Amino acid sequence: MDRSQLLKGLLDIIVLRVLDNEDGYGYEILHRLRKAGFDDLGDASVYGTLRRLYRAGYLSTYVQPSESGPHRKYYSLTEPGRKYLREMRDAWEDVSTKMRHLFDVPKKG
Amino acid sequence: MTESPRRTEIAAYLVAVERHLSDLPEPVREDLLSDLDSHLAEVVADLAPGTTLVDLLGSPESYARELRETAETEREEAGARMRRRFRETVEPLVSRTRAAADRYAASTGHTDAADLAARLRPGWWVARGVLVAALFVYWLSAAQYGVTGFRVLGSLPGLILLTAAVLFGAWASLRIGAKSLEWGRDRRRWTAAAGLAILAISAYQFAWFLGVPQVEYVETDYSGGATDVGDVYVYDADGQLLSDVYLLDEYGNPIELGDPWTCTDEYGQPMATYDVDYGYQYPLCSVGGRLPLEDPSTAEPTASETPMESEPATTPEPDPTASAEPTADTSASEVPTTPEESATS
Repeated sequence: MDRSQLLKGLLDIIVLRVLDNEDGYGYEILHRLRKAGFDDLGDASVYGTLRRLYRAGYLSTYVQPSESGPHRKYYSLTEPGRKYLREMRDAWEDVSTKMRHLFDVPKKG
Repeated sequence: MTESPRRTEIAAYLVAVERHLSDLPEPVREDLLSDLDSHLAEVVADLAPGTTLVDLLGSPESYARELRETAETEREEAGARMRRRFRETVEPLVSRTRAAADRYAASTGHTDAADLAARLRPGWWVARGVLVAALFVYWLSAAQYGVTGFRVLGSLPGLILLTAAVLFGAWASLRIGAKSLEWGRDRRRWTAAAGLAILAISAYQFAWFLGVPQVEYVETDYSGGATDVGDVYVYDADGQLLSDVYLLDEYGNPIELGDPWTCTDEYGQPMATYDVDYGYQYPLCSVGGRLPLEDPSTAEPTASETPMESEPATTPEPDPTASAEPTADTSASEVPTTPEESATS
């Protein structure tokens, strides 16, 4: 089963949750996600999600120079972003509880 | 690793991705691509030597596909995309035209095209008012001419009416124009459209006045019924009028042009000579070579003097001997002998 399709709907909540702990820049955010086990996510998906959330006002950006290499654009959650994350989390909890119940119902026969 | 090869690698990757995102709405695409450059630079900074962007991120196509799936809120519908493309092609043209208009206006000593247009506006108001007045008088005269037969154009009352109408039209148009400055955009657009319509109608109506050749349709008819062609005059190469001529088409059928009833004899019968096989003799109104149509006053007496004894062979022109002979010869040679009709009618 292609998990990437399943994850697409959860990209917002995943990226927002990762940034909730600590601000991060594009490629580094992907590393964090990989570390969390989301191996199926590509760089483009993360980058695209970051830009969409930024356009929606859930993220703000600031540029920080790095010792090695180019400047990095850091993303951090805005207040609407935090609110959106809470709502998304509630929705996820609701759906996942129902899913668990659905799977826990013993099969007939 | 060196900087410049990496930079060209990023640029090439970027161009390829951009190409695959061309159908995205402008703001979304702009936002994605404006930052993708620096994002790819961050990625490249972490890249191990020997690995390429494609190794790490996959092909630009798949990258673009992934981007559009996540970044795009909804796909731009076909209609919107076509409108956007149209706007994008037309906009440079419009701006170039605008710049040219500004330059033109500046060269005439005005600030820009808008300034020049503002100066010209009252002149345009007067012009459209005058045009409406002229159309009004023209149509009025045309409509009443059919009823009363009085020519408004060229008469003194007509001149007075025209002057009054022009003065009133210009005045009303100037008033409308002055008020229109306070109107909203929609209403001003309608006014502008009405102005253009006035121009178009005037151009159509007064084209004859400007010397534009008019297309005229003259109805010609073989059956010889009521047509605009009343009679047919045939001239030879020397400019001499031929009489007693028959007109035949390539099948030998008579071509019946004109109206035999154009001129009648004292009994009210057509004077034209008719042959069963060759049709009418032309000119229809030729009586002894005279053409009653050309000079109606002398035509009547001539017609009554020699009602049916028109002798076709003799055409009494100012120079009878010179012209009569060839004419007689031509008619004789052209028309196969029909003694009863042509010689002794």
